[in-house]
Amino acid sequence: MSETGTEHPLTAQAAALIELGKFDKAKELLARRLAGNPDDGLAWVRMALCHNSTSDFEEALHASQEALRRDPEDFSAHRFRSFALRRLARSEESVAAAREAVRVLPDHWAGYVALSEALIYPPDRWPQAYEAAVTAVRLGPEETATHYALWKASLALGRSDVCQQAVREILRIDPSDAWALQELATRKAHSKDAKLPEVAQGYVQALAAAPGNQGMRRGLEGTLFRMVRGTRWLALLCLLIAAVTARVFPTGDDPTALPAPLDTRLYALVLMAAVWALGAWRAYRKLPQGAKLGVWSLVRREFWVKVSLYEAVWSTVCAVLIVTVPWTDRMILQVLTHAGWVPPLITIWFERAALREAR
Amino acid sequence: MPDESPLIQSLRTAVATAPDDVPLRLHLAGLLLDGGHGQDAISQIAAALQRDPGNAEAQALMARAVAPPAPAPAPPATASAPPAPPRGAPDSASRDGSYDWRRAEGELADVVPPRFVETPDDSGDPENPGTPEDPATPEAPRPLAADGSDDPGDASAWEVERTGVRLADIGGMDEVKQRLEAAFLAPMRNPELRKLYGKSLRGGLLLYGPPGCGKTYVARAVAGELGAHFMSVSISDVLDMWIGNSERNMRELFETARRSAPCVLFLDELDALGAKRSQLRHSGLRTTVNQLLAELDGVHADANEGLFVLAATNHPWDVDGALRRPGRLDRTLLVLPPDQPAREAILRHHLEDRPIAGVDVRKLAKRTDGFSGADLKYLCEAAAERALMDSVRTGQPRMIGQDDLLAALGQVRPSTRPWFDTARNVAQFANEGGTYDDLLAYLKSKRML
Repeated sequence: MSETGTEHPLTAQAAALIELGKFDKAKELLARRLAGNPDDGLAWVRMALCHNSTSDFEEALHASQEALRRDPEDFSAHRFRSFALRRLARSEESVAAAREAVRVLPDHWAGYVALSEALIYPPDRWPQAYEAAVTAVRLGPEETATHYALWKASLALGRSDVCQQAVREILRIDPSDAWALQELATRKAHSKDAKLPEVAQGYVQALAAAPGNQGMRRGLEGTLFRMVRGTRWLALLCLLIAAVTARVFPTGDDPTALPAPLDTRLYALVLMAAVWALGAWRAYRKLPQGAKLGVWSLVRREFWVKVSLYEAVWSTVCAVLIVTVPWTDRMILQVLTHAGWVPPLITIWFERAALREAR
Repeated sequence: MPDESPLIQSLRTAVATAPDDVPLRLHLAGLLLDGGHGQDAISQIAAALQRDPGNAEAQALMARAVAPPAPAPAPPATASAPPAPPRGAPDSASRDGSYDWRRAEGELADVVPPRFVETPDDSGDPENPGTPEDPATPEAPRPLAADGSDDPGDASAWEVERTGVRLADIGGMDEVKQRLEAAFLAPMRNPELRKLYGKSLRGGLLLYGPPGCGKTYVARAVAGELGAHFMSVSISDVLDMWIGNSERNMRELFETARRSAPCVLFLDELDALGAKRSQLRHSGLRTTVNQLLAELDGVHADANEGLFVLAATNHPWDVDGALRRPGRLDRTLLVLPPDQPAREAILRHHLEDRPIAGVDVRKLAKRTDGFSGADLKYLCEAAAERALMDSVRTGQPRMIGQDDLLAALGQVRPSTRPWFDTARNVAQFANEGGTYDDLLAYLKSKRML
């Protein structure tokens, strides 16, 4: 968008409002300007931009065509027209408009971005879309929009290496780019190798850059829920350690005398502490402050998170009781053990069944 | 009708010819309303609503038609006073078959129950005393006009005004008042103590919070407390100055404020005026932010003596970090949705000129936690609309009752929720240096975190 000293004050003010994301106010000013002088091409172009930004694509198309009627060589008008046509599912016309933009300014990256986006549909044009995006990156290597176009085209082609590279480049240019941080967080969340604290960290970074993104918040809360659910396995492991060391179910040649020796039971207690310290405490410590707050917020608000945590605590308490009290009646030990594992395992089974059904 | 304009007469004929033309009928109703024929207008709007019950324009017109006249400096309505007639109600007796507001008043005069039902305060909160004073009396705190009716936005950027509003005029919001007093007003008013403690007068105050909760009103009250002039600069003024001369205009703006010292310079929508420069491509806007920074610093050490800069924003996270450094807008104040006493005052304000009976304002205030001033205004309007539609439908006039307000409450949701959804993420994940600790504490106290 040009910023000249000759443009009308209303058109210039609209540009500032567009810059501030206040599209509706900008539209009002532009409408006033165009009512007074319908031949202000720049005002029509900015009107098209506003309409595109507020998803009023029919109006955007009309505004861009009005701009082109006054200046058929207007680069921005071709681009905005291409965008509107694409969103109106008029693919062929969208491509034609983008090619016009490229013809007007063949050395400008924005025309190739528009072309690449327009060529994304139908699928047989993906290689051309990719080529256009590569050209855009070559012409505008420091523009995040070109890397975004490349990401999209390479995603369509299944080039995950290029996708990752594009996201890295965007973050190099603008480390607080909300979209790139979101993409990074989502990619981590779907990666099998990523640990849950790392996934949570990614979401936290994305949310710090784009606090209005409720999708990221849901992603983070889902991750934290998974972490809380995971504590039940730690508790069950503790219960197993307790059952083995306290001679709850002796088999074969195992000694059967009750109570089990004190040193063995103390050793089990140390092992259980290590399981919790390494499995849960360390992961919790690694979480960013916001995510730590999120854990407790979830526990307070969400019933199933609360249930998961209570189950983990319940199983651990059973395990601790088994090893700390010198029980002489094996029946009590067995009841405690069963009471410890049955509730969490039943819930886990139902959760998995529900997940399978949801898929 | 002999006193009707030819246009209205023509429209009447047209409506008679095309009775189902709702826009035409509404146009006629609008003209009738403007011409002071309120009763006729109501009939037309009711007819339009029969044909198109969901028509927003018709509903708005109906609300306008039945709205009471602007509050006059007459004595306040007492508990047994009949309700004020709607705007445009005829002075003479009603015409046949139409809704006679005067007669309705007469009918209701003898049976009107008390306007407000006062429930005993069972909270035991010492800060929330029992029966509040009648808001109509001069001593009673005026509610926060968060709906924008008190917004000084129509004042020009260069207009210096005197504001008569004081903090005591704001109903409730004691915490905000205390923080304002401690952080801003007390040092300003006590120069000796200020010198003793070495407290600098430099720096301003940034008010932030959800929209519609009275930040602008608070700023005016601060000016009133200081006995200072008040200058308001909003986004439209910023845009005017952006065209070519931003630096000069910004300098002149501050010079005007300095010449009018003591003066409160209020920067509204600071997220636009002081947007993060890293996110701005336009050099014009970047220059404006730079100049604003320079003016806040002042050319000389005592350049800004007597100039108190207050700013307000709904999105403090979009404000350039440099604006919040020490000596600039280094103190922040969270202006939250009105607390219970404030909500009571606001509800009383919006109901005081309406025909109401048996309304338990305290109970309503308890159930409207999280509502902004604008939400409360809308609630009262929705309740009035419900009662009016009922009266029009049955032909029997009735007062706005607690049931109407409760039914409206079922439909109105606090508009502050989206703001808190975003603010929660900011407080939780971008709270660098504890900037949003007060917000965090509030969210925790409300179990929103």
